[in-house]
Amino acid sequence: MRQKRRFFLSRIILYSVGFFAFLTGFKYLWRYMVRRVKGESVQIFAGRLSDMKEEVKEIRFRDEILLIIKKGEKVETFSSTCPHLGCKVEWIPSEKRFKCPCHGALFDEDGRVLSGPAPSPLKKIPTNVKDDEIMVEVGFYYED
Amino acid sequence: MKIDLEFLNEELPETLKDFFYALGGTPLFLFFLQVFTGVLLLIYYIPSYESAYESVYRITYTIPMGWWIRGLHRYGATLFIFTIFLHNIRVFVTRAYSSPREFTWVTGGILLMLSLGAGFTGYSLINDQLSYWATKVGTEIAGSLPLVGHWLSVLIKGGERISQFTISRLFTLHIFIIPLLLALFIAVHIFLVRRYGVSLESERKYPLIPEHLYLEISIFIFLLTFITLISAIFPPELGEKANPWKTPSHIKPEWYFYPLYLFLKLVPLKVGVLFPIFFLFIFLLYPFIEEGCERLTGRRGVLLLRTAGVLLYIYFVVAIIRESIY
Amino acid sequence: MKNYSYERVVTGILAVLMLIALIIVGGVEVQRRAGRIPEPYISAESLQCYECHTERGLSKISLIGWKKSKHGEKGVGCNECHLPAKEAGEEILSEKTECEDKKVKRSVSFHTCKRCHKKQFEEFEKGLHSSGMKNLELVLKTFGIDRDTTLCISCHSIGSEKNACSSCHVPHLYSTSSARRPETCARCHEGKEKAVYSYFLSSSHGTIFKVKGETWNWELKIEEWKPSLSRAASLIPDSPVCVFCHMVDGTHTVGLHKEFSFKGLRMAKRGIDIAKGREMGIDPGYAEEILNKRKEELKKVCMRCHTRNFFELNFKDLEKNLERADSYFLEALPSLNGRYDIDLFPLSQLNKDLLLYQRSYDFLTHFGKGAMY
Repeated sequence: MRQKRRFFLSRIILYSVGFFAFLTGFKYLWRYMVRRVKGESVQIFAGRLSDMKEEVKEIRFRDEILLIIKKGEKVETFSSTCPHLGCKVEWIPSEKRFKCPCHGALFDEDGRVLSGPAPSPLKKIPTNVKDDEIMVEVGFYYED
Repeated sequence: MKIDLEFLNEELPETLKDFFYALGGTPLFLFFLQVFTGVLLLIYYIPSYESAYESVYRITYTIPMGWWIRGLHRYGATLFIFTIFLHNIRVFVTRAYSSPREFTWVTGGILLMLSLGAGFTGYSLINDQLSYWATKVGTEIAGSLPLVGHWLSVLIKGGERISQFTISRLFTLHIFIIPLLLALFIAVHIFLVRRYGVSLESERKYPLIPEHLYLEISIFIFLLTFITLISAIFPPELGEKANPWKTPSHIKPEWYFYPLYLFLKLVPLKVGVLFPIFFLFIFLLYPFIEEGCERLTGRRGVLLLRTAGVLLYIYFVVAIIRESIY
Repeated sequence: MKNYSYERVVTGILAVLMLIALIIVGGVEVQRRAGRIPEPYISAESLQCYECHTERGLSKISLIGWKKSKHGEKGVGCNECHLPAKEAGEEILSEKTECEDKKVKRSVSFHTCKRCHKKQFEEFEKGLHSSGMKNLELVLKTFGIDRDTTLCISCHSIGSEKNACSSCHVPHLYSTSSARRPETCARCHEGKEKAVYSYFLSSSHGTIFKVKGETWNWELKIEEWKPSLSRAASLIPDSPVCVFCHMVDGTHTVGLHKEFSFKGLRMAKRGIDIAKGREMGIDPGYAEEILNKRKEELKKVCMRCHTRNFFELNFKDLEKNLERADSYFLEALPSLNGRYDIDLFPLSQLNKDLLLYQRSYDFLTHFGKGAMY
């Protein structure tokens, strides 16, 4: 009887050690293949509110084009990447809404989906206006 | 179904438990390890003359665990060639190549040559000073062969000088042609071993499953642990980036080329290039040569031949030790 | 059964060893990760610029400098700076480029730098360096000369749009640590007419810099420079260099100390006509109360290390020496001027005036050095 138990125990120990070794090795492999992205953000100066004559201004920062929309004294910024499949969204002044030229997705001036294939609203970028200056918070990304 | 069950219940002679006789299986494991780590490295390696060094630098220093995968691949390669070499010595000493196992020896010899080729092309891909100059020297040696020399060196270099084309060629060789040939010849070699059986039989047998399986798993884990520890203690480094206008003060090939390297230092160039080729032929066709020798000169002749062989092996070991010290 | 467990035990031990080896690997990895700079995510366009330039072997130094810089670390790439801002001046916007993308410009306007470094830009605008070009134009207008400013631009362009930031922060390294060193200031503030750097080197402060400057940690921000006995103290600069007093606490408004230029303090004290000075384009406002205010600002900086009494004592000496030097200068001025009546060499008016300028400086530096502390 004791033989059987010892046999069983040694089997469990062996398998669990092997399992942990396998898990660790697998974890290392995963880290090798998939790199984590860390982010840092910075505020950039996007012009003066008083200088902004048009309703929507496009500014370009690194890979992205950001759309700054003026609503009276407030200002909001949206990413111009359409949440459907990534085309660049345009502002149509006559219709007062954003339209994506690829599949016709429409968004209102708050970025909400009006119609079309977009699954979610336009991504909002933190913005604030201080002393007539528009400061947009954008991110730097690191891959580790 | 029946065949499968039979295979699982196979019984192996107890001699296979002796590591000395199980040396053949080790390179097989290491081959799979090399393929696996090689594929992982392939994900980040860039085979361009401009970016190769940078990509290897990135793998070694930036990408998490990159240094470990690279270490496994590099020390795995060393161990791969080392165990093939040991296996070869064992087969020679125990005369396991005699009839009907001549072709097993031939394929084994080809496998040894292929693995040396894989080693050479592999470390030339890093494009640091050592890679560049080792490739240069290698192609110069190839180029000094009579008749085919220039053609051969142009074939390897992809032109008159070492350039992007060289890297592309060596890359294709290293990741596709040589592994494919290796796999092919391994299959043939194993087939021949199974066909003719292991050379040393024994009365006592033991089952394939589970005993032999445990043995193989132990060897596998041991190898992996060993290489992992070595990579952790001596992580792979990177030399300076390849500079065609600056020859480093010490150009040395990898350890498995030391016997050739020492030989080239001792004899004039023409001899130094022709003799190894001549020797290669003798090595690959050795079982047939020995049989011919036996028929012609009897046992004494064979004894002489084998002594010469042993002396050659001793030279190899001495050359490797000597060159590593200097 | 016996053989069985033997095999299993061996395998088990090996498995444990493998686990230990993996843990060691994990430890090494953590250690290596600590010293690693993570790879920044560079925008696709900047990567395009970088790769094309690398392929064609162009701008090698710039690429290397950029990679080593903080910009390179953070992934602020070619695109982010070399596409000019909308407010950039005509000179930059009309530049011709050999790049396939015609929007790319070699010169970078400070409006681009302003987008991220707004604070430094605004401080810079308030300081003296930003009027480098304006002053140059004023001097030329005052002397009524034609606009051949090629020899002046090398220093005065710090006031221009494209060279404002790059004069002290050399591209593409944009190293703040080298911008803190006096050698950077000596780029312009040295030479016969403005030998401030060599005055500095011959002073006590400058001597300490000469001897110990190599051991200081120039990466420290200016606001962190304070005398201290802590273990890291040997790395903190022991004595002030240009930036410590002229860019107090790292402000980019370069300016403190200017009241001691010979045109300033002395003019007011000697009762030289301020109106005339204005005509010559010299910044007026050296009224007594302004001078006193500046003395207080100077005192605050000196008192970070020295006592008030030390300051007052030395300041008194300084004022005395300057007054004495000025009186000798005033005495010599007519004869310096008078030399030109001989008209030995046919000099243009510009050269005559510049020669006077230079001669007076030469004369003054002899006494001026005595005023160095």
